[in-house]
Amino acid sequence: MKYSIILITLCASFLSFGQHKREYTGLNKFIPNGYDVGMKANANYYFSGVKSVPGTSNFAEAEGEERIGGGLGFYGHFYLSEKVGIQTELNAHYRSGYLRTFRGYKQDSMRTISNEEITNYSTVFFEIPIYLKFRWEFTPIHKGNWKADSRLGLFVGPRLTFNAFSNSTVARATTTDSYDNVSLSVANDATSLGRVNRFFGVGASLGLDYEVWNGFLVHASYFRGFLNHFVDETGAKAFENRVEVGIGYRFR
Amino acid sequence: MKSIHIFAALFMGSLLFSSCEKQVFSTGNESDFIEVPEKNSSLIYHFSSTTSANSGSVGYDQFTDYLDLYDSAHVLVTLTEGNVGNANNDTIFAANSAAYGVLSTSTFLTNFGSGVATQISMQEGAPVVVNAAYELELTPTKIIVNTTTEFFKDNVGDEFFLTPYIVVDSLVADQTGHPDGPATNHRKVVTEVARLKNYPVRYLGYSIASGEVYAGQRFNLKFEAERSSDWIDPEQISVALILTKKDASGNITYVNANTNH
Repeated sequence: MKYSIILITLCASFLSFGQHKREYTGLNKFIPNGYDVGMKANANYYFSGVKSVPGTSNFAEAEGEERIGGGLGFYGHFYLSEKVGIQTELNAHYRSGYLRTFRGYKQDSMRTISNEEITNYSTVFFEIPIYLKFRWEFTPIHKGNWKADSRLGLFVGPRLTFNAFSNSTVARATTTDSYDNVSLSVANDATSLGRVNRFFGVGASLGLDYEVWNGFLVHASYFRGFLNHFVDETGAKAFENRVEVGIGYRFR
Repeated sequence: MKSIHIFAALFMGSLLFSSCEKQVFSTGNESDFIEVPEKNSSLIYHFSSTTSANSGSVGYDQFTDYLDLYDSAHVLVTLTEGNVGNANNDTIFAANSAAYGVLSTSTFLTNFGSGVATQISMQEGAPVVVNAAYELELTPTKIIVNTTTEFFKDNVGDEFFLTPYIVVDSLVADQTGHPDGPATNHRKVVTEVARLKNYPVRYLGYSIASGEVYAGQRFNLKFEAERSSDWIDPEQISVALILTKKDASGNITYVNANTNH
């Protein structure tokens, strides 16, 4: 079922490629009329607030952080009019980070166990945004010369995320206060959770791109997820909150 | 083009941050733990009475045979009813015979069930969930038992208990039915349960864990017991650490046992 959804979405994303081609040359000779196709790379910065999932514990806390990740993908832009179009993308995002959770269990008046875990993870997402894109073409002056083919784009739309791969290790520190005997037990590499992020997610993006010169472009976007992206076993929950900045190239 | 190159360099540079070191806990403040073997052992209880002829004859010989066969790898103790000197053995005998429905002596239970070889085989083949180990400190009047308990499997929902029985070997006391009579050498007698300072005594185990427990979780408990002036030889004194849990119906089931062989 999961993979069917991916396949259908991918097909839908690229359905409109079956059009007549026009006067393009080079790489663009394969691209139908009314389309732009290109590739993008980005660095993504995650800054979500992570909350704890107490489970059966009496008290819980959580925090998390991701390192700057990277992404690479392709986009297709279909012109609905001179200034408006639909842009779909297929991007792979690599991300890594850690979750730190703390859970306390007051078993009775004599025994309290607190369990602190650090889950280090790395993960690859495939993401499919479907943007409504507004675009303005203009000719700015650069170093005293007119510079043709500069375009500013503003895009907004939903984004589907699919967690293709996850790798994780769990380090655990357990403090046991039992009958006035306090013990701290540490197990780095205690176990592996496998998937840390949920397979499917959905959210919305808002962004800008600017074609600087000859198809080269810079872009920036903000993505907000609508669903908790961590699996329950992590003891944490968070919505995607991510900024992406990158470069791209429109095939000409 | 120059600006593009600069931007590309910045982008590639940002990816380098992705390879930061992973986060771990410092082991500097970790408690000192006794090494706990990841193995299952069986527990053989001999319910015996000093006034039972059966206990002094067939039962005594059978327990001696079991010691020869199994003592190097398993935990064998005698729960004795009757006077074996300055010991709390009657209370422990009564608690266990009531808990496991033992109505006569001599009776043998292995892992709280019957059939020695079958029970040992089943226990050896079972996954190791938890085990415990101990070190003894002996003073002329005290037996101090430092223990470490370690879980080897995650567990949710069960309540686990640890029973630290003080076991004294070769206690000389009267035994009906034994040819040595008042000079009978009683083997591996449970004389007392070690206690937690400031907490009530539990003859069938102290609750040690419930709720969520994780593989690798370890903790220390320090117990104490009075040392009788009759137990002179330190080699006589050992501890049987017995791990049990409550099943869904509230019955106590056997989990593991360990001693210093």
